[in-house]
Amino acid sequence: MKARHAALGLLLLTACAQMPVYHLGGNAAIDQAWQRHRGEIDALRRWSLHGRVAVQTPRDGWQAGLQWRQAGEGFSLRIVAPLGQGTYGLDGDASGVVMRTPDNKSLTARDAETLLSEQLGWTLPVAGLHYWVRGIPDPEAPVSRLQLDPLGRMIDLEQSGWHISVLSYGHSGAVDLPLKLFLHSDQLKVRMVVQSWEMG
Amino acid sequence: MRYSLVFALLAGPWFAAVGAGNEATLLSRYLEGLVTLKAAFEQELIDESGVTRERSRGTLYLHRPGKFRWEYDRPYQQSIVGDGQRVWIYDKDLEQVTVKPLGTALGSTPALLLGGKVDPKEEFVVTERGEQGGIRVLHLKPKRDEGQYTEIQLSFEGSMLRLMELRDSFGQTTRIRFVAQNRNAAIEPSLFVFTPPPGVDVIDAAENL
Repeated sequence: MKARHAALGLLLLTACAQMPVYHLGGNAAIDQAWQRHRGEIDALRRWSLHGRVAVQTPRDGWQAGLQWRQAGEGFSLRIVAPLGQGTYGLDGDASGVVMRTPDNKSLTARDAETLLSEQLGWTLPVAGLHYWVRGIPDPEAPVSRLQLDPLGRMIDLEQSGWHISVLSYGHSGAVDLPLKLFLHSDQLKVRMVVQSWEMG
Repeated sequence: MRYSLVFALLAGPWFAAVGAGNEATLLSRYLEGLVTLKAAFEQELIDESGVTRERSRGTLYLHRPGKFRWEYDRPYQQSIVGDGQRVWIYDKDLEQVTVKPLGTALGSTPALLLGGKVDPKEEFVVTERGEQGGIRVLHLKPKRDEGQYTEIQLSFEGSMLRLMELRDSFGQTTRIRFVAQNRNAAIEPSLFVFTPPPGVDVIDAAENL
């Protein structure tokens, strides 16, 4: 029984390893699927996700629940820390951001990156993340590497000093959106799983 | 995800010492002689506009004082294990285990409650909200506003704790319904020990101190 499980595991592993990976410009049909997919994702102006996030910094790590609502440039994040450490809010738009701590303090900055860096000593590229989390690159920044799966969906990206891997996708309405993403930079590891996506 | 205070409330040694008065009697009656508890639970996270954002369910195991295990099995698998010294949080999908000393992990208020050094009447204003349909409701309001919860409500049916509702500063409510409870049954001690599965990242805050 055990041996059979092992064999099955190996088979799955082999299947994964053999899944074809495409680079942009390598296959016209897949490029076309990617351009269409990317266009649909980019057109999403109002969306929200509900999931969990794990962060590893050089010093420590944590896990939390995550609710993210996006409307154009405006975003509202709720980070629900485990073990009674409360809820953090991060709300912002093009004009600035506000962080709300569990004890109801409000902190402001011109952007989320600055705020996180000031408050936590490390930062996340929130501007890029709002594209990456949907499985597309930030159009404002150069792309170092992009890999697609046979359906023309992004599975691997290097951009702005970050490596983004999309480990699974799910359907939400007519579009495919990531359900599991692992991201890392020199300093940080970020993992996200999405329980549900909502549009509009 | 806000289970720790629940844990603190249930597992803390202070309940028996809550003091005289009708309000306390409900709690102390529930906790009197409670050593172990196994309870199935259903949890809802309700946002400030009354919309349910998340539903989860699982099993709670307690061994008072100080040991607990919250095992979430739906819609995702997560274990929170307190072995008496440390708290282990494992999320299967995130492939990460975070380990924290009990005090740090629980934050200031629950730590105070857990430590049992502070009289909860100094921390909360406890009032009974009356009885309806056999359910008696206790309302706990923190006296200081630096805590994570603006109010906590406990609903008892007879001497059974059926419902725990925690409202945070964002107006969100975590509602935990205990659907089946087994008092003082034998619980396998290994449930209060956590061994990280192979291949997952273990972030041990204690090692970095």
